[in-house]
Amino acid sequence: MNLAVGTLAYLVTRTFRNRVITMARRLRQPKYALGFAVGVLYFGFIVFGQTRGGGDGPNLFQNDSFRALAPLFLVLILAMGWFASGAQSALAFLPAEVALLFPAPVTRRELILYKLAGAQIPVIVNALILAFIFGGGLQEIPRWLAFASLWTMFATISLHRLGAALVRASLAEHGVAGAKRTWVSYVIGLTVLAVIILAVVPHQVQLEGASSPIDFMSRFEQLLSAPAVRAVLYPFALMIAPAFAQTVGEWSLAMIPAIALLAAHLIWVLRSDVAFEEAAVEASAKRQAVIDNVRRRGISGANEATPKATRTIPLGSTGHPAIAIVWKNLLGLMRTTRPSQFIGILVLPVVAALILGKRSGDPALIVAGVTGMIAMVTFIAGPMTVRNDLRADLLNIESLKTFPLRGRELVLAEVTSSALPLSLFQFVLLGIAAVALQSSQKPLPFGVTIAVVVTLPIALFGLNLCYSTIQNGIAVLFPGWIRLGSEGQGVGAVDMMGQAILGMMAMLIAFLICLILPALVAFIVFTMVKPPAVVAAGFVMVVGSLALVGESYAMMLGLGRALERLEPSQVG
Amino acid sequence: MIVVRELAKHYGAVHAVDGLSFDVQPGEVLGLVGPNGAGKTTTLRALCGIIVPTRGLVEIGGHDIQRDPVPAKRALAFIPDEPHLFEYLTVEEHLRFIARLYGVADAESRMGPLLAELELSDKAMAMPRELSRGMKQKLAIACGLLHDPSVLVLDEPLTGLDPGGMRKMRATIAARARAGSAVVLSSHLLQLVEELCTKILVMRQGRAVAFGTIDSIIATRPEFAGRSLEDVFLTLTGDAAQQ
Repeated sequence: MNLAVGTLAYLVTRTFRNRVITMARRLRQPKYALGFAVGVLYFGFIVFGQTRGGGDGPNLFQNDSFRALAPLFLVLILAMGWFASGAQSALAFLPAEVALLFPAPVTRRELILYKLAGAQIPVIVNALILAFIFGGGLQEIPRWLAFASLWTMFATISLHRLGAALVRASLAEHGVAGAKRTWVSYVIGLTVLAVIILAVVPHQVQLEGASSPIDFMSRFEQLLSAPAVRAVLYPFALMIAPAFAQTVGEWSLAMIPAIALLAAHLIWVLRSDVAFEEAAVEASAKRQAVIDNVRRRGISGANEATPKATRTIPLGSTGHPAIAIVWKNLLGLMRTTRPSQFIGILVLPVVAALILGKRSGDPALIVAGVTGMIAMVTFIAGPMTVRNDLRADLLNIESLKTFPLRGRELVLAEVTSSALPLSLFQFVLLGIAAVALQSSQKPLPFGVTIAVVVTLPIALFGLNLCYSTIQNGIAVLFPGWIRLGSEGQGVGAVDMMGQAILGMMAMLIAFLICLILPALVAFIVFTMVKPPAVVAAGFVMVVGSLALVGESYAMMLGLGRALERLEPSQVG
Repeated sequence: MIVVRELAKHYGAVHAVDGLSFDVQPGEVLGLVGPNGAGKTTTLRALCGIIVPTRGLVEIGGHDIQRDPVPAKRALAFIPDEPHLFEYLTVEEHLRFIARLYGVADAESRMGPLLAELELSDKAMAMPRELSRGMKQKLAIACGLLHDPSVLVLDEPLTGLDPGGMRKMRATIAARARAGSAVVLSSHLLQLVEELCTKILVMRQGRAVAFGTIDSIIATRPEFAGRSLEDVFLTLTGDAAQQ
């Protein structure tokens, strides 16, 4: 075996082994042991539920509509690697890897192979989770075959993301020189996009005639069955075909092209590497020519980087110090998100109204429905992506602990930092939904709308505060088990789906448990006060939300004490 | 100003710090010296409330750092060897942030001269990723000095600084002590310790092996007479045999 490859393989395996040992050693601490026990019960509950209900439940992979739309979903997932910000993280190396491996006698190709090998560990873990924990309702074939299908698919996606990151890095580093070397990748991507657009746009009328979202999806599915679309989506359909196989025979046949595609991706990634190096050499030569030219003319070659004009929020130097934490975190959020991301979300209901509203005759109702749905999605997915709280700040625990703040003040400020912007965004969305609903043909009674809109801010803040407290609580109590830092799972990280689903379900269960007490309080107060019917909904929301805020604050007091005892050596 | 009594920090069977006691009065500079793993950084972290001692007492300005941490932490500044900065705050915003945390009412008038002193004026709008290692260290120093702390704790204060920066840093530490701050610094640079410190605490395996002025430590053993601080240090920490 090549010496460098052997050394890098040693590094991957020892890192994995030592990580597992470190995690196991943490179980000596009572809180980790308790967390582990809860986790085992949670897994058992899911597996038991799958085994009992798996055979009777609807099989997603036997659904024809899902099968027809799945290649398009895959295109969208892969497209994120090309266009979304943050997708470059696929190329990221750790500081220790940069310091020790980059100057070492290791080729760039070997480094990429090392990166690929390292990426296989989470891919395998997630495929195992999906196949063996959630696999009951997925496929009829044995679970180890389901695991192989999922591994092939996720590994291909992972490779694709790395390839896209290499191409983007090449373009960013070397401009036109990089583009010349990566044009094939762009031609393929643009062809797929163009064919889908050309197939859908001429039949827009058919889509506009849809009477409901289900009818819309059904018509869209028909458009995707056009020969040209099927042709461009064919490789993507092949990539996921093993996951849809219902017999061992079908699976065996489907695996051959899927593995071929995996191999093709591997070759592409390694070839991208070669192109990357060539582009670098070409760009270096051009840069040298520019430098020589400048020297000949006697012009200073120094190019001072101009400071970036950044938007800011004013902050007074006096007042409660915890506000400084919220200010810092909001600035961080502001600087890691782009306004276009929010505008894109707000445009979606308008597009839906334009397409579906004509047929239904009530575009305002469509806007209200879609906006409300987006608000619901942001409630569940928002706290997983907006991480400008302790999940990001714990990496700076040494600084945090020198600040003149009590633990509870710090936790409150950190939790508010993510709960507040999420609540504001959801309030805007639900406000739009309320206005649209009032303009629709089926408006709610005005009193109800006003009651809901008035009580909505406190309800949203209460719900988000509780959800964020749970997320931050896990970071404080189990910092060694979760990913810290402001970066989320990463766009298009479908290969991390298993862990994401497990995490999200656990959070939701914890959240639902937290809702029990406030619901009881709201019920008791409601039966005691018996408010008039017109304000009943708003009354219950306010009482329940206040109880939820109180419960969240009680949790924060406990977390504050835990944070005061948390030490830098326990983080990471 | 700083009172430490029977301070101990144990990690399982490892006793990182064990039974350390010392005082630092206003105007004094205490140098913490010892070989790697002697427990210097653990001691500094315990002084600042970053870690919870296994036992013992740390008082800053009369406040127990564990029982009454807010007033204790308001009085002190910790400047670590590795600057911990916030990724999405500019240089100037770091200072505004610190000003609010510590309630520095006249922050506006302090920020300009402080940035100029540390040669960061033209980087006021720069993010930490745009700064060199030395500039990051200077920013961490600026954050530590903005609120005029009465207790200054520094871990390897000259790390990452250029010669000019080192000279300024030495002058700043001396000036802060003259102005009445109690200073504790940890360093492997024995020349720095000799130049700045009024007292030194030599540590080995979590324990104090010598404490006092350099002259008083030298006076404890006849064989130290006429020897350099480096020789004294190596003998005290048991490293002399290895040289």
